[in-house]
Amino acid sequence: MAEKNNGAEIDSLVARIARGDRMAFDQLYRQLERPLFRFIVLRLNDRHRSADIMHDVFLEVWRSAAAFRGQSSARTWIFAIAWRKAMEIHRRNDRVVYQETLPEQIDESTDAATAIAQAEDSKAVRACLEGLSVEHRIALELTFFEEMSYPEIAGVLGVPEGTVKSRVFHAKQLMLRCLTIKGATGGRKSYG
Amino acid sequence: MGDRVRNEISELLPFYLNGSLSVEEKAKVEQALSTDAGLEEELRLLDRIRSSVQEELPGNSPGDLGLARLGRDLAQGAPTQRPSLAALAAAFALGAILSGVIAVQAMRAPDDTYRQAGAAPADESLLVAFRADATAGAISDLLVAGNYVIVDGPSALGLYHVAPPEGVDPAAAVAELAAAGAIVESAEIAR
Repeated sequence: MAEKNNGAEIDSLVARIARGDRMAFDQLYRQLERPLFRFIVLRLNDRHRSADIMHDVFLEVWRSAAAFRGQSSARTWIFAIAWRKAMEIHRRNDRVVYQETLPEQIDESTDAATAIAQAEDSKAVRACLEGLSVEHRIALELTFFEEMSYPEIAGVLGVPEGTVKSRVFHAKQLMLRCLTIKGATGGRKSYG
Repeated sequence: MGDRVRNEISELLPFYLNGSLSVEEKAKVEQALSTDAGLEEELRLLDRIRSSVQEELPGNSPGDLGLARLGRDLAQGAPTQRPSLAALAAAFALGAILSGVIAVQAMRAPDDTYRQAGAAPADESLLVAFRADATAGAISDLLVAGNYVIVDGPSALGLYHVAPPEGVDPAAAVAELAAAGAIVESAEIAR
């Protein structure tokens, strides 16, 4: 998991990179390489391409750091570059364009107690996570792995803050429904 | 608590859990949690989801090799285009397929027409770099359409030796490949 309070450190590294500090660049790479790679792979599901995109992201950071004016945190700025580049590739490959297709009455088929009991089984939770759309999965990734705030996530994905909140909410509802179904169909562990 | 307010609180719960809410939002959520057992259950579920997300391994990232690659590019003035891992992987796979095709054709061809690919005279081959975003399909279509054959590569720099069709002037072949700018990054006669 990304360290929770490394935002200030990343800001400082980018400021040094803006002055041409290669050592700061190497440090930044070591801090962000794994979470950025993980984030890009989630979008593209292609490790070779993701490695190339990440390479381009760091090159852009090196070239553009001096122009970064701190409108957001440096971490948000860098993840936003990664997202933009990954989406360019994704669109170029003509893959499915994301649409919110969630049914409005999602809660009808959920049972919180059953879902929570099932959530004690980490395999069940992982299976449900894998069943989410990429957009829902990425929303959870930025919330729970990167521990970003919803304004930060909005900055990375280029969507309104309300969209971020509702996307994470929907992801949670889908997880609730998935775990309810798993619990009701015999995957349930004894609980309590 | 009305449905609208409850939904608002529910939307804030994930960010309450990751500690990123403002002081006011946090107080609002804590107030709601103290009076609504359903929200407490949601929080527990979110906590399990959070643990699962955090337990997932990031997979093999490029690590030090990626940093070395960046170092090379920065030292060379950070070229805007270079052979990508994806293009190299695709082209390598393509090369392997074409090698197979060559081998099959060689078995069928009379002896006097057989020429081992790797033994192509240097003055007949071209040095070609494919664009980072060129797909294996596009590269294959281009080479097959022009009767070109990959005879060697990729080199450490991602360059391929490509043999033009017999009887075709190498300079004309270079011009033809260079015209496919969406696929070919550079083409020149091998020296």
